[in-house]
Amino acid sequence: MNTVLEITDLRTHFDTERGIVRAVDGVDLKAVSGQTLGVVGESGCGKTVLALSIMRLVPSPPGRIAGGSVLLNGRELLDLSPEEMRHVRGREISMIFQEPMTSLNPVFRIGEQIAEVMQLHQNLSRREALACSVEMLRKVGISSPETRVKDYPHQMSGGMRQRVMIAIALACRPRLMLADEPTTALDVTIQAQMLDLIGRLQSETGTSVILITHDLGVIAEATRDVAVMYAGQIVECSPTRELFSAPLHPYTVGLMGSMPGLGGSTGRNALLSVIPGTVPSLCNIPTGCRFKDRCPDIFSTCREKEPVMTENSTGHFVRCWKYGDYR
Amino acid sequence: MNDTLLEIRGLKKYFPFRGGFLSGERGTIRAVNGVDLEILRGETLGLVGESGCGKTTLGRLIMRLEEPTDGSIRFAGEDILTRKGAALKGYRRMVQMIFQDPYSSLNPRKTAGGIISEPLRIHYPEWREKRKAKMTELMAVVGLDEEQMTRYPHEFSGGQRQRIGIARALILNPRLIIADEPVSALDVSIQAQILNLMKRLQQDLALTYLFITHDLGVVRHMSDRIAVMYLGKIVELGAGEAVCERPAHPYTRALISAVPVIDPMSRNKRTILTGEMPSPAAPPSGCSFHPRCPFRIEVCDRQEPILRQQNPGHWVACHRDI
Repeated sequence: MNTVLEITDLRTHFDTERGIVRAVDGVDLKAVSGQTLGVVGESGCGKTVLALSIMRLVPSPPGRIAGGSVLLNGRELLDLSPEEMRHVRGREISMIFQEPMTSLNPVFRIGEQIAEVMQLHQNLSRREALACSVEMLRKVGISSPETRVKDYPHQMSGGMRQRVMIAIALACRPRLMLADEPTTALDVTIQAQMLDLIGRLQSETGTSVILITHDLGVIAEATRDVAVMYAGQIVECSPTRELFSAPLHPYTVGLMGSMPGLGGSTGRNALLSVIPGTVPSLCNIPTGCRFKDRCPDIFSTCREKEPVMTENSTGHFVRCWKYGDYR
Repeated sequence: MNDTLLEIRGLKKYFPFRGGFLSGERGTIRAVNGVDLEILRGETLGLVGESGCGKTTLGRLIMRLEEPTDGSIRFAGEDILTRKGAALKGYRRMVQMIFQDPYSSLNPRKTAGGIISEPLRIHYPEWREKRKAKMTELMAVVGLDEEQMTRYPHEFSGGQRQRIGIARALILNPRLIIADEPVSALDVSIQAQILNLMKRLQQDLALTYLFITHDLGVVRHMSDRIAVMYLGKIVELGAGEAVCERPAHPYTRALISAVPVIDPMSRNKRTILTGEMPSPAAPPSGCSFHPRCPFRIEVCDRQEPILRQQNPGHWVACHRDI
């Protein structure tokens, strides 16, 4: 198992009038080559900033990467010059965004937008690149791609635009693709088409995928490993199957309980289990565990000391004082 | 509890539109295209469908925020489409709405207390003293602190804003609540809080809900009966359990199988629908689902299927007996 991306103690902070917002605060993560790693968390937990930090696209100022390391195949991305980083983006790491409506340029034909990446990174001529973009459109399942390359984004539906985004992202066969909520804006039937497509293209190209989402269903369906993020940190990390069969962190357990499912929990009086309270503000992080005010299993250590990531069983890491000998 | 609170017959809403830039062609969007539906007293009827299927328009028609092109709506046996003025105001006291986006559905220049009590100011202007008491009562009911009444919407989180929206909808003691995607904009943990609150309120206040959503998990959890909508029509209607466990219409089946299962051990082979929903400006001939249907037979593109009862209480609009 080769590691394609290794993140160690990554910290991304934003300087604001109200103080320093620690959006990503000490994240360790490994993505195995050719596999899909899921990152799941609620809004404001820092998952998008994590992706932007890997791409070095954090708006600066106010944002800055305050420390840590991001190794892509052993190469430190945080030390690269902006010029070198531009060669990494699109060729080695690419990204698809949540909003297929706003992430395509409305004044260029989609063929040109796909061709642009290949012209930049693979030294193709404009004509060759346009021919390749027809091929890419065919691969992502757009019918009659020869005529569709000449369309503008507004002529396509949301699902088709997201297919175009995937075509752009995979045009140069990158080693890693970051997908930030790629299906959130889409209907379930289109979401199913999209997850199927990403999975199929991934096994063809051998690209690793980091799938960022708030939807545990998507995680269960499409990932091999998963990291749960809360208030800027990874709180649990394990193979996906194990996370769902034996979740450890009280936050993970709470999240799963609050998902209304198609299966049980239906009677007229059935209530969902609820995580009380809300996420702490990231510019005023409490001492001790970040989840302590919402945790049902709190004890004295939680109030004083910040928990550390420990390996509870092989490959299953959790950041909680409940596990291990600390109690 | 088996009596009808709201009865919809043959309801249609067509929106005219102009064609492309300068071309001036005209067409009609058939947003709601012949809906028959009954909402029973005290139940939660889930209305589920993908974006553009007309579910929001249907909710707005019931509220009389849109005027229907054709059809009838009766509330507690009385026709409400002919109501005007004071009579319409009386109807709106009994039917209230909770909106999707808690960020844009609250006036940013009003305080939480002002927003919650505004319906009272409109409907019962003579109640000056009682208004504040009623408002603080409602704030407690939905789990807000009384001292938060002087705060403005931007000072609240998404979940709290949705609580304000719910309090505003409840302050007139309505009988029917139309909830249009009330939890779609919220995180799962907050969504669970709001769903629980809505269930509790239903029991305490004997409310009837029309719960509009695209999320099948939410609709299954909340609803007694579920209606599935596709391209302006109801294609399946039945008890929540029957529709989710034994879906009969091919579209419902595909919709349910597209929902990711929260169990990585049972990644089932899904029926993935090809293509996308056709435009409601040019719906296909015959059954509007036939171009995407894996089970279509020859009659499907010629004749429109009607909603017929397959099992007691389980209605399906499909030519085949599946």
